[in-house]
Amino acid sequence: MRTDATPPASIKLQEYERFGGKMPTLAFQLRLGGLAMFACLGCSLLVALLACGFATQRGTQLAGWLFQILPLHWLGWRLILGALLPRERYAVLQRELLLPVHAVLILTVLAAGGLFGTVAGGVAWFMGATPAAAARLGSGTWAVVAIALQSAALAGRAPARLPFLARRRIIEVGAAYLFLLPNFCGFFLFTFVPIFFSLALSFCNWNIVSGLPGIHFTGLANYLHLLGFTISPPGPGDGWHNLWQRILFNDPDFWKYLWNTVYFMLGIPAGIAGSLYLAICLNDRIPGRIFLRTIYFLPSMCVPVAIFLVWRWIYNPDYGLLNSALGLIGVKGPNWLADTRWSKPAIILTGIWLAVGGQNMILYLAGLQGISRELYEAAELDGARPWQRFRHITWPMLAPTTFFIVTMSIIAGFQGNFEGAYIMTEGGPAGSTTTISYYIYNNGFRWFKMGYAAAIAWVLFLLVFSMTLLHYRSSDNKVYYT
Amino acid sequence: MSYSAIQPQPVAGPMISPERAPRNYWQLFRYFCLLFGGFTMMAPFLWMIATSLKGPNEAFLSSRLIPEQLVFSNYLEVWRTVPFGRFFINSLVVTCAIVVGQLITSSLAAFAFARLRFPGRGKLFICYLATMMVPGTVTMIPVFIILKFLGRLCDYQLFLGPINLGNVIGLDSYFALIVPGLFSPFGVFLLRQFFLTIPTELEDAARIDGCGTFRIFWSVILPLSGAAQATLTIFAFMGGWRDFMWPLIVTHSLELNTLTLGVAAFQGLYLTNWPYLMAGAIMVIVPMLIVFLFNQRYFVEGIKLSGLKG
Repeated sequence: MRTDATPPASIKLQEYERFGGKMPTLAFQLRLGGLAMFACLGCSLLVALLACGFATQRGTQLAGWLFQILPLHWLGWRLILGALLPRERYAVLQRELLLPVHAVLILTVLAAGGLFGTVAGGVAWFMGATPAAAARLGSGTWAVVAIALQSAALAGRAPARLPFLARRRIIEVGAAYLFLLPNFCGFFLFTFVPIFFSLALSFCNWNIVSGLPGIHFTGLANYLHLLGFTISPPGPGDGWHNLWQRILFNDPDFWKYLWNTVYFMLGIPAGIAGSLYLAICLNDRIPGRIFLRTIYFLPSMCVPVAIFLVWRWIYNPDYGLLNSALGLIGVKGPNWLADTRWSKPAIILTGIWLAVGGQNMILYLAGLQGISRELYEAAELDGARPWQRFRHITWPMLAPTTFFIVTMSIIAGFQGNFEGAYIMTEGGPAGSTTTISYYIYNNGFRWFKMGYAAAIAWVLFLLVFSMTLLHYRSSDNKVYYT
Repeated sequence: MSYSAIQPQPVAGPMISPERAPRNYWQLFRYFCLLFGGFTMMAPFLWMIATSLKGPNEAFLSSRLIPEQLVFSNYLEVWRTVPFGRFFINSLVVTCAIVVGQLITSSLAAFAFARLRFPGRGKLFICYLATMMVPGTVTMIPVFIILKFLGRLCDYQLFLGPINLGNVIGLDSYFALIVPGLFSPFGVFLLRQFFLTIPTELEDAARIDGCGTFRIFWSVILPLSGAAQATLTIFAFMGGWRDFMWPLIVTHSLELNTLTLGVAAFQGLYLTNWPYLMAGAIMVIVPMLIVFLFNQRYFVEGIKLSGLKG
């Protein structure tokens, strides 16, 4: 119900009594609430100024800008309005207007304020302020911008209600972003930003011992170096015209290590097939299946340091378990880890031993739980043999799991054998077991060439990304979900 | 269902009726192959146990399986040589926090990716997938720098009586050990693939009954994804428990070291103390065994994930 009474622009609280009996309009109610809100916002602004301007303790600063945006504002508005309005009118206001629009509004202004605050803090830091002062400036800017935007938005007229479907869509999208928010905050700070930092680093030279000021920009030199040639710096009289004279060819280790990495990935299909077979076997209710699952999963549970030390002993040519066992049959085993012909198969064997009962088996076990028993019963009634049951029921129903496992195996395979190279072979006889991961570690942490290491990492990333994209595209029409 | 009317022929392959014993020689042979494979898996661990019981003079040189004298005091000596109890509590606290955090944040984000529609969903998911392909060694240094910057904002140290708990925030703190591990794109990917297999009819039925989005997530999707959550628990626990490089980089005070650093301390530059190393490694496995045994019962055959008829 609406009334035509138009209240004067400035209304005092006691004059509200004059409207007793009649329901005031929504706009009027909002203006009333807006006055109370301004009072709250004024206090908030004062606290924000105190916090960012005059605080000596960083804790006060933190509390200051955390304190004044949401709780005071939200609380103040709800308290005053809830106290003044009739209960049913407040309920209608709350349900139809306050929650959806206000929630979206608060999120938007928080984001905008956060953006401004971050930019302000970054500019201040870049121009030489200490990080603490820059952070204070940033958070203060954030608070001021948020409060200003909210005041401007809400002191105006009451916003018209959007049509039903648009409201539902806003709520749905807002809910989706809220679900994503916790994970995305951490992901952004600890994964996204470092990755772009390392991208910037790959165009620079950085000896980490000299700290942050030691970053020198060198353009594409790192990438050219790993492709196999270097361009010596121009001397007097040199220019673009004799660029080709300054190209020197260096030894492209990168390609050899890339070949090692791809060679080690040959063991992946065997590992995945083994995991699948084990999962199918251990899914049945055979006696001792919990014991067997634990036994097969044990290698993945153990600390890699200990595991690879044990395998180094196993491959020991004189005392090792493998050569002793071969000696019992009468075969003289080679020097596994020191022979260039046998080092790679030895590492592949260790990899399969580690992987066959590991994470992939767990994933397949979990995936097998999702196949309903009725399919097997129907197939058995139709007279299907075990291999047909596997091919037509188990394998297609496991398709999403297999897709996930193959993707993760491609990603992990390209980054593989770091601990093995580090602990077992130190890069192998003549670099035959060094993979790109180990090469990155050597360059970054042993020879302190962080820029070059970042460049190798980014080339690796491009490789892995294209392979995964290929895999994704090729299985798009083969993997189906219910 | 009873099989009294229809008796299936004995077939090799995945058994359907819940009998416990193998039914013909082929299955018996497969069972013994499984046992033999299990023994092959166990062989290096048997040697590890044997080495941990050896005296200091015969650790590496003899290839005998059973040592001449059993030195059980190696396990006690490990606890006395390094502050193993403190390392154990550190590892436990850090890993449990990482597991809980990953479960919560990954479930929420995976639900959004799997079931909710919002602009930028596909591109954002590809970003998540792409960041998994970057080698970890390269992102470690920038995160180290970010944590150092955060540490300069607040440099208070926490003390619980005489126990030193490290800084509040920044390097050499529990924050630095836990927080970068809380957000895992792997967890989001895993749970999203799992949530995609849950039929949408359940969600539609819930919406007709008046559930909001969060209620659907809490009451419909979460209970059905027990197997996936258990899987993620195992993986997250393993990742946090076995992590070596990150605690090495981030902590430098002895009270904040984790178990992996403690065990690696036995491998010196010239001399490796093999019995202590193996004893420490075996003690490190035990909590992971417990977590694995606790979670793998979710893989029990017969959990019906599909709540519809059939």
